[in-house]
Amino acid sequence: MTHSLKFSEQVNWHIKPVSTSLPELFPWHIKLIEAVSGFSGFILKQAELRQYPEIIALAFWFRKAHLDKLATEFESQRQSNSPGRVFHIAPANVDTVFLYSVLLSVLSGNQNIVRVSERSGDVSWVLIELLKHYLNTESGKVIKPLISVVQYSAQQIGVTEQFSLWCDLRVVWGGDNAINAISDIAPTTKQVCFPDRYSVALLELDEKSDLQQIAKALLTDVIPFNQQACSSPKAIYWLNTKQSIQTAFWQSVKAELSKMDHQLGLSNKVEQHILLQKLAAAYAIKLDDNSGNKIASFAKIQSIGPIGHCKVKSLTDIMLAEHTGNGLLIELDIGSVDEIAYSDKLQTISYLCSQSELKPNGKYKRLISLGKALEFDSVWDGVDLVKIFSRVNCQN
Amino acid sequence: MFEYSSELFNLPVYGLAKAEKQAMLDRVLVQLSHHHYQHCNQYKNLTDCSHFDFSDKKAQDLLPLAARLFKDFSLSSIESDAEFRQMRSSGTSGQASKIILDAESAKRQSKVLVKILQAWLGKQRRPMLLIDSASTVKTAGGMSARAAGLQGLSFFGRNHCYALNDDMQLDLDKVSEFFNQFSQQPILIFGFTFIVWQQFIQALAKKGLKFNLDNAILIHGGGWKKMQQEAVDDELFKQTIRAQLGNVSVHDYYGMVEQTGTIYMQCEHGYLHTPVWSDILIRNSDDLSVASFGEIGLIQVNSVLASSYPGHCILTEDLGQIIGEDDCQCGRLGKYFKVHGRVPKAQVRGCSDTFA
Repeated sequence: MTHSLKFSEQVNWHIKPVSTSLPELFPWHIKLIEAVSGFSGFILKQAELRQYPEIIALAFWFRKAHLDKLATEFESQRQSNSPGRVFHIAPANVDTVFLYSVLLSVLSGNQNIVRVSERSGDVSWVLIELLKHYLNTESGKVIKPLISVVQYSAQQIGVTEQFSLWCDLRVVWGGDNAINAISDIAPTTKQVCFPDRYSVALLELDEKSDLQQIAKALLTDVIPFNQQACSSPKAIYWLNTKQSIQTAFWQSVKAELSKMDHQLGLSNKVEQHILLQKLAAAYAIKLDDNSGNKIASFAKIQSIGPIGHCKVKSLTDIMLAEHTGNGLLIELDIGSVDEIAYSDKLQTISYLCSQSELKPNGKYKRLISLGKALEFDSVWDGVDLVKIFSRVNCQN
Repeated sequence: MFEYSSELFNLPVYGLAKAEKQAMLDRVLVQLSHHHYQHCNQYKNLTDCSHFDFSDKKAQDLLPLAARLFKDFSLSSIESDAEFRQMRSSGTSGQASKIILDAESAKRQSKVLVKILQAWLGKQRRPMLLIDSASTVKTAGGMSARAAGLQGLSFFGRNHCYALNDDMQLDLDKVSEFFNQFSQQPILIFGFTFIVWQQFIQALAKKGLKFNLDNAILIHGGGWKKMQQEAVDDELFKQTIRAQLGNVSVHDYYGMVEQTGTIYMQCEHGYLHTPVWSDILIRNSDDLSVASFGEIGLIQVNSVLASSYPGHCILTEDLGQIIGEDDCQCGRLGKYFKVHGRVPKAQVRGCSDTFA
């Protein structure tokens, strides 16, 4: 059990492992569902959390009705496996994703240790506090032995190694560098990883489109984690959309932004300028000003408040993979969905198309309506988490 | 090979009025843009990104290359066999900037640094106290900005004395001996702001030691980030130094490894001054348009010194404001300005602000 973990190095437990015996509940046991959905209710009851839409989204996802539905799906393919131990290494860029992963694993009855980064954002710390409180309530205590949260430096390889040897399954949320480094530690550990991905938006608008609503949906996909979530669109593909409509759309974005809270600041704006220069210097990316004339200015992005955008003449998967977030949307006019930069790294296409039936034809992981890019799915990046977490003890 | 006019480096450091200076900069900086367009692939890509045509343009219209690009690319307009030296920023986090110099550019940089500093120090070499460790210069494998600064400034001194030992701790015997020997002479003291403050002034204060120098000048630079964390501003810094050392004229400077040789010295009235071969623009962060005097924005530094890499117009991640041009009370011509630190939380670029 966890109390057998002894460290010579300093680690900071936000939620300590408890030495009481484990509940020994089989995957998706009603007590587990009640305890996890109880956390959802605990969050939704607190009015002051409404300022964190990401937390509300998480609570909504783990509501009882949704979990019952997932449980039914799970029952249809149940295998007899006993719970195990899972070590989650959470990403710093997206504050809530680690908790989806942990709670899904809890639902399978596994014991979990989560490593959070010291670079995690505010939302992570709020969530950890909430969890700490909840686990000490009557409904939360059932799963208390199943969750502990630890923070330590990535340089403390010995600690990562011990947790890796302790667990039956290691879950590593990117990026690629972190995954490479961690994969070298206790390399025989069974592992699931979520490497760097990029995502795009596909918009086909006409005179009848509700630009205000569409602008709001786009910002819902872009704003929450400063566009750093792998499922946040980095680019907009304009499918057969007139320039005049695009121009009007950006005005709608401006209007919507004025009504929204966001975390994008001066440093992000500077990063937007730098990103365009990097892409230009490295890949000769060219701006498309729709005129073909020589223009009076050096290349620069256009700012709509904290959001930047720039239209280019071509866009490749390599350029998109180098996009660092920070609120810059690269635009490309296309006449067919075949022009999208499909690749193994293309995760989500969030789309809104007014007319043609959409059939993206290439490599990508997920197609979803605009505005829902950040909604979690138990099949994430092609990995069925419910299935994985319910058989951590299987050999393959 | 980029050709400079022979008179260019004979211009008075702070004596050319706005119209003439700007006309000269417009001419030379556009020529440099042409040169780099032809010799540096990345610069060409950046220019062509918007079909930008820089003929007949003024300096302020030219592309300001983001300083960060010197971390991601080896930007060069020379053949590799013409490479004379690589300068590196000494940033502690992330990659270091690489600046590629040919012999001619390095020579111009040294020459201009001498001219700028002589305008403040005179031509006579002074007894010099360096607030650093001698090993900083010896052990720097490549050329760290700190080592380059120490070495560059050493030229203006004689009887050099390093005030700190190899562990960066105050070497009180050496310092006392130096001050006893030269306290009546015009001394030059040089160091990086935070090191001067923490390892020298604070160390002296802790020991309760005061000196009474007759006529010293302290030149310091490297940034205020760590100083701000300790809530030390320019005024407190100066006061404390005078209380500790006596009659010391304290001058901050602003500069960066991407434009070595160009330094912006702080005058008696507290403003940083542009020498004739360089200029400051302030850009609005949203659209990179040129801001008016008085407005705070991103600092762009222009310099004609180097021709081996496209660093003649650089957009920094520092914030600043131009106070005026040609009308500072100190009498020096050229723009004068203030720096307000780095863009908060942007990637730490660390010029010399690395010792903690």
